[in-house]
Amino acid sequence: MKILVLLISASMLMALLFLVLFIKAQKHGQFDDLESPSFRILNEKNKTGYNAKRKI
Amino acid sequence: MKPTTSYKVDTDCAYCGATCTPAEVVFQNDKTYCCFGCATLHNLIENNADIAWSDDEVSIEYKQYDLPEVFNQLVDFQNTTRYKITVNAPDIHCSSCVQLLEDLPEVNSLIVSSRVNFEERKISFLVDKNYPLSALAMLLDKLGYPPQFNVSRKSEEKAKKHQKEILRKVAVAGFCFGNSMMFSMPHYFGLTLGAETFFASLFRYLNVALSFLVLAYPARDYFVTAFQALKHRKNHIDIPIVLGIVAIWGWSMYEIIGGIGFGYLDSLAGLIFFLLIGKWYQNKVYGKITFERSLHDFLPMSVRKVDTEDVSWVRVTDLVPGDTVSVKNGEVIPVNGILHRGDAVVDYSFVTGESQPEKVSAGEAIFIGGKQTAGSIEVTIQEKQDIDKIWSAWKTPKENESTSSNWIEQVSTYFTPFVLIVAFLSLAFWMYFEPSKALFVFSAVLIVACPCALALSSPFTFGSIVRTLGKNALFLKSSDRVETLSEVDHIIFDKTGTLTVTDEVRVDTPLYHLDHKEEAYVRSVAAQSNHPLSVLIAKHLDHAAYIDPEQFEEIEGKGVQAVVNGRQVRLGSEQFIKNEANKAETGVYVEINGEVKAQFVFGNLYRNGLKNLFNALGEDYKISVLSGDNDGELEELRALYPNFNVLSFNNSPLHKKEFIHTCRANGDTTLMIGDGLNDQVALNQSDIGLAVAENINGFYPSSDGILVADAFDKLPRLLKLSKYSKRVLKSSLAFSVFYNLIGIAFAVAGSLTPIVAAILMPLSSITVVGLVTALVSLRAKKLELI
Repeated sequence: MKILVLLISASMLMALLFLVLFIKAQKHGQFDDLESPSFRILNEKNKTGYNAKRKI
Repeated sequence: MKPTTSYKVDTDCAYCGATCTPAEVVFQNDKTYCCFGCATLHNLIENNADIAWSDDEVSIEYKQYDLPEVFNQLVDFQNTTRYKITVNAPDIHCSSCVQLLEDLPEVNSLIVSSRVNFEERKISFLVDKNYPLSALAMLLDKLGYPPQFNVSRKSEEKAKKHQKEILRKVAVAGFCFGNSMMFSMPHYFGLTLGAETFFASLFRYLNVALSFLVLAYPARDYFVTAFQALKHRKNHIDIPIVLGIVAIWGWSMYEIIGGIGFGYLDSLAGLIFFLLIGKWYQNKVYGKITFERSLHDFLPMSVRKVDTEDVSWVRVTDLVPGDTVSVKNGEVIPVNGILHRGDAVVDYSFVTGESQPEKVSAGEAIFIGGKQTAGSIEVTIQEKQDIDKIWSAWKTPKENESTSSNWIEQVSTYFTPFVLIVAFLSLAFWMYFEPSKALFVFSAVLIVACPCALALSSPFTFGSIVRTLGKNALFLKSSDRVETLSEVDHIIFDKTGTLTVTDEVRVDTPLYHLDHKEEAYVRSVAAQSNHPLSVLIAKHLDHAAYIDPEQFEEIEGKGVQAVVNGRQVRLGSEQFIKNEANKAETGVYVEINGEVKAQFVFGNLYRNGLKNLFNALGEDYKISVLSGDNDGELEELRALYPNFNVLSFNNSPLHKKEFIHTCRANGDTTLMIGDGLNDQVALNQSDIGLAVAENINGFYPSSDGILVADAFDKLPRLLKLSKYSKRVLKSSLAFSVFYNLIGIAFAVAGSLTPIVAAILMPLSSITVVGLVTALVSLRAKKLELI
């Protein structure tokens, strides 16, 4: 049963880690705009396509 | 230069190289593009970057942003070489827009970076100092994204920060709730203290540690507000909540430290968790529109100062007596002064509610807030301008902010004493029969009589109603307005701009002797001018042919004249045509070869479906119409709806205000619906004031909400939905009472085990939330609002 101590501390640490990561991500504005990044991913592709064409 | 859509297939986009899909291909300058964004962008790059515009085109609103004082107010950040600015661009609507706007640095190297926030329709730019802000604004304008700068963005940011903090608190409370549940699990299933003493106490003390975290961070605000409410001897829903929190925590600590039990700390964390979610949701639903724009957002911050020859831009506050300011057609007059040059026809509707523009001659006084509607004028100021003082003369603060008290809070007034009475009664009872259990029962009653459901039902009811209303284009300032809206029994409409359409007018022709040919002449002459009335006439006669007129001449503020097919055609005011000064007439006369042939009179066009609207509203409400105009349309309104409570004309804003004051004094709860600008005093006086608007980005100083004009006919249904809020609240209250009774029964019987508490408490919260959301959306569906 003593193994529980290890398990509990591990689970607590992990949960705490996720909490900290969430707060950190939120402070960095990860959840401020959930829509535009999905457009941006396409734009990035377009840019390389455009640059490739320009070089020719 | 506007690209046309065609259906050419199997080509690559000339800009990005992607294969074009047939449905979306854009064809421009013999090239094909996969989307509009690519076409515009490529056009810019091919033609060597910048879109050109003449200096005249840079409007007053944009030019003023270059003034250092204004500029410093607007930028987020600046150093010697660069500045960062965030602008609102409501016209962003698709991924191509994002792409185009984020590719701007490729077009102009002075724009260092550009980043779009699609959800909020905002763009952040990092720009070289050599590129003035007005140029950036103009560039965006030319691209079709007219930017809006928010001077009062600080309060908006504060609200956003607050909301972010609530979310963090939700996360912390959720973390504590989940873990606390885990540690309590063994106890729910019968791990007794004797069996595994080490783990039992480990779990308990871990719970205690978590509970400290909950109290210190997520629950802190409840203590603060409850304390403040007590200090001001006011009732607040947070008081019973804090009472519950203290009872749970205190009793749990007693059990844990005393080694007699496990406590209810998991339920405590759960309680806070659900309460915070309610708070977060409530803030979330009405965060999109800012009502708190300052008057300065509306007035130009700087003006064109006219020196002998030169025109320069200065801030309004820097003007000194004797300075002359130039105001162009359609601009708002930014100062009080004397008309120096030009013909002024000023629309003071924003200030006085008078819908007829006023004619001002040179040398007469002209006042701030009016809108010049006939050509350029120059105004000389007589004294130092103190805008705040001038505005405050007619801007009165909302008077009824504190009068309506929250219904749920009234209920909670009775809640706390009731719970205390039950607790003390059971304390007395158990003291008599079994003293050892008495204290436990006492605290168990306080624990289980959870105001959680009470606290959740109002944010979720109002929140989901506000959301549904918002989906149907009625945007309320805050969710507690729903409650006031549901109590309304008297609806007062403003006429102009509310019952009538603003961008369309009815054209009447009391005098009309034009034949086919002459119609063509009139149309052709009218088409030359940009004056609104000319545009209207040209539109009215657009079935007629067009002949190029000669010797066209426009006399500003009077009329136009030209020669068509050898005939002298003159259109204009009565004074212009007949040489008689008659101020009141808005009609346009037509004179051909010296003979008066026709008269056009422009009237209001009522919104569609007004009759149905009035009849639907008439079932539940008293309806009044207050108009600032003359009573020319009395019969027409009577025909629409015969049972008006009051139908009154020639009302000044002050009259309207007094009328509403009288209604309220007579016990009516009033809803004033106006166009938001010229009757804002009345909107302010009313219990609820709604502004009818074409778009939600306008300026509506003292309204409680904005109703988008397209949704005007939905008003009866929207009001019905808001009326429903009371019933939803009542049923959710009934549910929470039901839960509390079960809980109290357990508690009084002395058998509130942690597992019962752990099941009852979250279950009641979830049920209440589910119940109110379901009721509201069912009702909205029935009313065909979703």
